[in-house]
Amino acid sequence: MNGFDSIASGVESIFIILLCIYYLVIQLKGINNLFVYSTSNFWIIITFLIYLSGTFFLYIMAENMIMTKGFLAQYIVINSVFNILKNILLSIAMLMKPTPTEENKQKNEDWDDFLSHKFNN
Amino acid sequence: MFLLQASGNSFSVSNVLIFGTIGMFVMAITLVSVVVFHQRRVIKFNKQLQKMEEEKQQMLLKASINFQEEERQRIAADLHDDAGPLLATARLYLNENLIHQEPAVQLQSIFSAKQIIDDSIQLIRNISHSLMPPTLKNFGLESAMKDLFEKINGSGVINASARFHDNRERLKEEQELLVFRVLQELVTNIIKHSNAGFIHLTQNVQGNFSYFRIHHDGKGILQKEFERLNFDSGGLGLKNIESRIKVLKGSISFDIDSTQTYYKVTIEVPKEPSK
Repeated sequence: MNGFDSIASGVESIFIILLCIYYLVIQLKGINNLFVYSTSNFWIIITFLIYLSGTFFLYIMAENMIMTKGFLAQYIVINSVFNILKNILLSIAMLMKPTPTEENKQKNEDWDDFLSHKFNN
Repeated sequence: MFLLQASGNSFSVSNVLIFGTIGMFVMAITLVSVVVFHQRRVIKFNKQLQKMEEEKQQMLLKASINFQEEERQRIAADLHDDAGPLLATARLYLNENLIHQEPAVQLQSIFSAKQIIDDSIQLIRNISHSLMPPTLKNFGLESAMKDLFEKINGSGVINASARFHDNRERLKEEQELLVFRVLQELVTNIIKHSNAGFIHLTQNVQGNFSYFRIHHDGKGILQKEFERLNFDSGGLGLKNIESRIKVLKGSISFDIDSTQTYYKVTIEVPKEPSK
């Protein structure tokens, strides 16, 4: 644990968070008849976003504070919680059918109620 | 790190960590929620638009079917009520010939039958002309409109005139027919509803578009009213105008001039010259 590099993980987190925000902004701007949460891409992106946002402060403080007893306990709790959340969200993403390409994208009818994606073919 | 050092003892490390983590998490969740809810709203709005468009299409389709049915009924009535009795009468006269053998009576009845058959021919010609004006097919839109206006002028109630500024190149036959039907419907509406004293039609070409503008001094309608009537259950003629304009891939606008005296209807049609 002594070798933890907070600066590198902080920069990495910020970079990935920015990429996730970029993806979400693209989704917001794009004209798409498919609900964004019915695609696996969306779930993967929010997994990264939530996990890295949640552990951002933990990681940037870890390099200097990891030896502190109180911090270590918090580190374990926060890291575990976000790790479990990350795994749950990734599982949902894996349960989704792949995001349809532009050509075989179909009109969304009742995606409000379903998480999985149905293809005609 | 810097934040922690700066905060010193007054801020405990655990507070910074917990509030920072919660803050980042809430921000991430908020961002995701905003995206999801915004997208849902956009999709719902698009669906609503699509539904409205479909309803409008349905209405236009219904109107055109109704119009066809009305047209068929009119033709059927014309044939049944006018041509049928005329031909039956002619047959009666010819039958007389078989019974009365006197040449004078025979001649008289043949003459009467001939007159009735002439009337029938004229009647059938009128029906055929109302279906497809021969002037339009042979001489084009300008002649057909002038012909129509001449008939209107003949009534003496209204003064109708047409001026085609650039008609060197005729439109495609199908386009001409559609434009003629639209203009005919507009003129009929003006005569029926507007109490106008004059109707003036002008035609012009600009780039790839042909423009037809009808001026009249009666009580006309504006664009908003046209759209409202178009969405109402009535207004079959206006719906037909709209569907014909759609087929032409053109546009129609209803407005009034700056002096608020003359109403104008402008039709814009993309030019497809006849081969």
